[in-house]
Amino acid sequence: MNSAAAAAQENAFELGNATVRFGDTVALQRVSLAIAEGERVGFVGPSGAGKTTLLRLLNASQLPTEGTAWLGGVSGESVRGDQLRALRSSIGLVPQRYHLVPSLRVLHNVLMGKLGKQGFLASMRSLLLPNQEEQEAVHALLEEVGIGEKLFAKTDTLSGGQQQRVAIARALYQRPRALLADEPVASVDPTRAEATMSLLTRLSGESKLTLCVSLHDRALAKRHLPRLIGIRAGQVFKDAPSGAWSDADFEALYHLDSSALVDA
Amino acid sequence: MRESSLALPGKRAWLGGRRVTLGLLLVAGVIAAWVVRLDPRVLIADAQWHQLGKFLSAAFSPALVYEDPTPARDGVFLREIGEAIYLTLVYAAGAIGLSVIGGVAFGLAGSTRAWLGLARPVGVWRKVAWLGFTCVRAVMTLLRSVHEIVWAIVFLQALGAVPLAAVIAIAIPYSATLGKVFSELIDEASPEIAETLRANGASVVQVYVFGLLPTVFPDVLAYLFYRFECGLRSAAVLGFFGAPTLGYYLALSWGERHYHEVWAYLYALLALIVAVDTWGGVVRRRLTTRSES
Repeated sequence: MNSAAAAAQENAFELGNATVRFGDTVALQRVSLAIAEGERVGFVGPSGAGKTTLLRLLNASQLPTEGTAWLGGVSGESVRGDQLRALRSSIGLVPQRYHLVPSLRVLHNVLMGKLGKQGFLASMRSLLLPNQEEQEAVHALLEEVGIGEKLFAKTDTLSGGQQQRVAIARALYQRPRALLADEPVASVDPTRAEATMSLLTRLSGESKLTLCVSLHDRALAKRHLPRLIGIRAGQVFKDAPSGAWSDADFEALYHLDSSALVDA
Repeated sequence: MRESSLALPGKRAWLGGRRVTLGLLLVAGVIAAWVVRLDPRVLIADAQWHQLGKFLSAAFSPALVYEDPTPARDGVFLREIGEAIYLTLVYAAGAIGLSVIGGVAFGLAGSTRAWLGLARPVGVWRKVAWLGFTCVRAVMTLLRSVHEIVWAIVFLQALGAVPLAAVIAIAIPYSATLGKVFSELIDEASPEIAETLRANGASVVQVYVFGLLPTVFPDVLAYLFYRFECGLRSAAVLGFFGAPTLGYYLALSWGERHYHEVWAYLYALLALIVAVDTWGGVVRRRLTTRSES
């Protein structure tokens, strides 16, 4: 391992001039950033700016077209098969719309968090005949996110807020080093947004999880996340402690010019 | 004015593809009516009004005992109906049971996702996957395009008048039909769940089994109940070809113009279908309970 990789290992995530292209579209352009182990970071910026692509880079779901992406000292490009699965499994993802299997019980949806660490037969056993230990582990996680009583409920009988907590529990069941949440507070009321952000920051603090959250709400972002990275048109607009973000910065970040209006 | 109305963005031309298709369908309908001599006068002149009246009026008094107890068909009429219902149910259940096995196999092997979607093969493997997919779909279409009655004639010829012949005859086209519907449900299932599980480290097979199959399960089950209904009808109809189901007795009574018996068998079939439909409805309701929020 060369010295650059050794330096990258100290960070949870390190992007070096990472560019992502989809055909002719440039989703991210020469993005460089380093996120330390245990840090809590918010990604802010207009819709379509590249926040979701950035989160996918941090999860090795997307590889950079150019540049480097080190995830806990490992590059997604250098691993394949089971190692790639292990890498992805070490980073929990809470998608914006949760993407749970609606017809299954909450227990099974959470158990699926472990798929990346299991072979097929082991996962079959675990999902069809979850043992006492597994049920207790899932129950403890559900207690942690505040819906312990829903362990055996069918997932589609839960409210949106409860389903989000199941998705968080599923990511935690992976025992990840880092947690990525894609717009967890988009389209929810202010009370729930506050509760969700409190939950994520509490979980991150308790287990020393690196936390990356994409969001739009500047007040929530400043209150819960010590560092904010603004993304605009696929580039880093501003990367600073949240105290250093002024209202003028947010205005400039979200300002629509006429070309952006046409693109939208 | 006319010129400018054509310039409206996205405005369709007056004679578009949809109108041409509808027009052609209308012409086809007129031709079809002429070919089959759809003429109400013929219908009225040729109809055997007397027989039709007798048959229809018998609907109000289905038989409870044999209309003519003298021939060789001894025994109790109601017990015979009971046996016919039982055997129709057994044949249909046997056929559906086999079809579930075949249908799940075809559903998995015949979905685009299984070959191309999840693993995303590249290069020559992509061509191999396309070939495999096309072969499976072709076999499914072939098995599906031959009616169960034709299969029944083939298997009765080959195996003799054994129950298995009828059951297999139904199971073959049903497997292919179930497979087609299952595979399409799998292909239409939410790609986001699959992507999320992939992002969390799941393998292709795990995504398929734990992410996709449970998602489509309620729809698959609902469709299965409908196919069971069809299976009951098919099993009954195969009675006309010698299987000891409702159709067999129906044909006998019809030949003897025992219309009250005919209606008894028809009502028995109706009761079977209603029972299965009700059962399916209960299961569907339990599977689709959603929260109010």
